[in-house]
Amino acid sequence: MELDAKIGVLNNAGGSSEVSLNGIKVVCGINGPMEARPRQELPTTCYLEVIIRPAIGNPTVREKYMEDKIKNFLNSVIIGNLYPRQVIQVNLQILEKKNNNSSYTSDSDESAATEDVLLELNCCINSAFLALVDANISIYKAFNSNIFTYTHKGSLVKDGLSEAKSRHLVVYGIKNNKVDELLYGENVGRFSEKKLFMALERGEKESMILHSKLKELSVESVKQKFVYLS
Amino acid sequence: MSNKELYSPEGLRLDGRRWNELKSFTCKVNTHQTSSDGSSYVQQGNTKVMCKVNGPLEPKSKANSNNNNASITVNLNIASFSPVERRKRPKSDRRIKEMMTILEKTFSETVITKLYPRTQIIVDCYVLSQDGGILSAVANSVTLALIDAGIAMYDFVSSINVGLYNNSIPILDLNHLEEGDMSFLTLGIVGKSEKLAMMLLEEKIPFDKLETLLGIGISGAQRIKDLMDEELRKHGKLLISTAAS
Amino acid sequence: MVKLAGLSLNEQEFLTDSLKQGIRSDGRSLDQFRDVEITLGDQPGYVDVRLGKTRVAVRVSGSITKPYEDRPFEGIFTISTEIGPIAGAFFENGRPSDEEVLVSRLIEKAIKRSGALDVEGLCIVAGDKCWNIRADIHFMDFDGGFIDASCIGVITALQHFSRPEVTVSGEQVVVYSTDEREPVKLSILHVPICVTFALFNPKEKEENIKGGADGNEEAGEFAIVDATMKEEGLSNGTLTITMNKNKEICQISKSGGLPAEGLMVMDCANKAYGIVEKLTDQIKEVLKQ
Repeated sequence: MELDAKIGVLNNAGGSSEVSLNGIKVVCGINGPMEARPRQELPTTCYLEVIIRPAIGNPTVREKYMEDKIKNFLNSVIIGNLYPRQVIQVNLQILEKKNNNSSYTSDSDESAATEDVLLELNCCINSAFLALVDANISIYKAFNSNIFTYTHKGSLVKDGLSEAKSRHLVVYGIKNNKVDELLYGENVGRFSEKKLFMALERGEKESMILHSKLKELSVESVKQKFVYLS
Repeated sequence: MSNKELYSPEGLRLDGRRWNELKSFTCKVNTHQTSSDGSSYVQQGNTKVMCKVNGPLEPKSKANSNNNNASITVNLNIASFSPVERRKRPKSDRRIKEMMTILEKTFSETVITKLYPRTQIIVDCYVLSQDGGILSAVANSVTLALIDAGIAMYDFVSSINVGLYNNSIPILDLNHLEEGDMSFLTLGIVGKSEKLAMMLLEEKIPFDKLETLLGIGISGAQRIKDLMDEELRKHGKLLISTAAS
Repeated sequence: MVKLAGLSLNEQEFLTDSLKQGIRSDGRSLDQFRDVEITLGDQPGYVDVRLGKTRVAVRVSGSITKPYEDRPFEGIFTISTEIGPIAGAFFENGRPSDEEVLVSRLIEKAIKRSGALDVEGLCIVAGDKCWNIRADIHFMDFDGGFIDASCIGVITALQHFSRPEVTVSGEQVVVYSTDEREPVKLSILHVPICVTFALFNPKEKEENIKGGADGNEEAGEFAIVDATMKEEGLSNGTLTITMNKNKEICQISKSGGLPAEGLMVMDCANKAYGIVEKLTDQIKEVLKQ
C-alpha cells in the first residue's frame, strides 16, 4: 500500500508528522531538545524518551517493547553529542491499525499482537524520520523502513498483509543519496539464511525508492517553513 | 427495598421533612485543639464529617511552593465504614480525587492566599458516616476549620445539595436514598451573597428547572451559613469568657 | 486547565486588557465557539475532531466480555482519557495530574453517566456475555477546549461505529463478520455536547466577593466561550455545561474558581444551548455522508 505522509501537523510539538502505511496511521510529535530532569541528565549526550500509545486501550508491555526498540535505534541515528544534558521526547500515537475481524474476545488479542508489531514499527520509524527532519534535530543519516513478507508459497512480497510464513522489517541508512548501512532489522517467523539475505537485498532497492519520496516531502515542508531571499 | 415513596402526596419525605427543610445541622469547632491549628465537626442529618487544618506552614515539597500565594492541599479520607455497606476505596479513586481538586480550587479563591505566600495550608477531611450530601458537608466543615485556624478568608463557603424529584419537584438537602433516585445539584455559595463558589450537577435535569433549583439551593445554603455563623459566635463568646476568668 | 508558565507579563496584560474590551486574539467575539472540523475515518468508529488548533482523535472499539456481577443485564462502556506529552510538553506521561482527573471525570459524566449510550442494548446473554464498548480518546494537540472537543468526538464516534451482528442460540453465541452480515449501529439515546466557559474578573478580588465600592456597582465579571490555551491559562475559573438538543442539562461543573452570580450561570446556560443546537446539527450532517 502506498505511503501517505504529512509533515508539521501538530502545533505544540517541535516537529511532527503523520504517516499512513498498510492501513496503519501513526502521528509522531517530537519535543526537544529541552531541559532534562535531574534523573534523565546525561553529561555528554542527549537522553531520548520514546512514548508509544496504542490505538486501543492503555499502553502495555507490547508498547514498552516497541519503545525500547525504537529508542535503541534512534540513539544510533541522532547525533546525541550535540545536545548534552538535554532531553528529546519522541511521542508516537498509533491512530489506526489493522482491523482484526476475527478477534472479539480478549484472549485472541495476544496472537494478533505479535503479527502487528512489525507493521506498527514500520510506520513508526518512517513517521519518526519525518518528524525529526521537521524538528530540525541532527541525524547522522537519513533512514527509512520497509517491510517484506514471505508467503507460504515462498514468494517475497513487499508489505504483505495476510498470513505470512515470515516477516522482515528492514531499516537502511542513506548517505550521499546512496543506500549506506543496515541500521535496524527485525525478523519474525521461519526462514532460511538465503531468504533473509534476499529480503535484505530487496530492502536496499525499496529503501532508495522510499527515500526519494520522503526526501521530496521534507523538501516541500522546508520550502513552506522558511522564506528564502532569492 | 420498601415501597415507600420518596415524596408522599402529602408532601412528606421518608424522614418526615418537607421539601424545603434542611436536615438537622450540628457543628462544633475546635474539636482537636492539640493536633491541629483549626478543626471542626459537622453533622448534617446522618452525614458526619470531621476536618482538621494545619497551616500556614512550610511546604512539604518544593512543588507546593508558590511565590505569590499560599497553596492549599486538601486530603479527603472517606472511611470504609462510612457508607451503608462497608466498602474499601483506594486512595487513587477518581471520584475522591475529583472532590479534593474541587475543594482545593474553591478554597483557593475564598482564602486570602496572597497574605501567606510561599506557605502551604493542609486540610485533612474525614468522612465518618455517609448519608448523602458528602461534598456539601465537607465543604462546610472545611470553612469552619479554616475559620477556627484563624486563616484569613473573604467569607464563608456554605454548601448544600438540592434535587429534582420526578423532574418536577425540587427537594432540598438530600439523603442517601434520595440522591440515588433523582438528579441533584450540589452548590456552594460565598457568604451571604448569591455568588456560586462551586456548582456540581451530575445527572440530567430539564433546562427550565435550573433556575428554580439554583434559587432554592442558594437560599438553603444561606440558611446553613446562618447556622454556622451562630455556632461560631457562641464558640467565640465561650473563648472570651474562659480567657477572661 | 494547564497554567502556562511561559506567558510573559506583557502578554498576560495585553490579553487580559483586550478581553476586558471584548476583543479576542483570534478575532472571535466573547460568545463565539471556534469552528469545529469533524473528519470520519475509513474504519467505523474513528473520528478526528479539530477545534481551532486543538486536535483530538477518538476511536471506538468493541469486544465481548462478561458483564459486571451487579449489573447482569447491562453491557460495559469505558472511556479512556489519558493525556500524553504528544499534546504538549507540559503533560506528563503516565501520571494524570489533578486537572486531567477533572477532565476525565467530566467527559465520563457527560457521556457515560448521562446515559447517551444505551448499555442495556449491549447485553448478549444476561449475566454471561455482553459487549464491552471502549472509547479511546487520543489527545494530540492542545490549544484549550479538550473537554468540548472530546465530547463531540466521542458522541460522533459512537454514532459512527457499528458492531458485528450477533445471534444467540441456547448457550452458543455466533458473531458474524462484516462480510457475512451487515454490522449493527449502537443505540444512542441522546447527543450531549459540552461547552466550556472561562471566567474572568477584571477588577480586584475583593470587589468580586464583597461587591463594588459603591455597593450597587456592577461586579464586572464576564465569561468567554471556548477559551484557547492562553486564554484558559489567564482565566480565573472555568464552568462547563453539558446539554443536549432536547433542552436537558446533562451536567454542570464549576469546580471552584471565580465565584460567579447565579444569573451569570443561567446566562451561560442559555448561550450554551444555542451552541449545542448548532453543533448537534453539524454532527448529524457529517454522519449523513
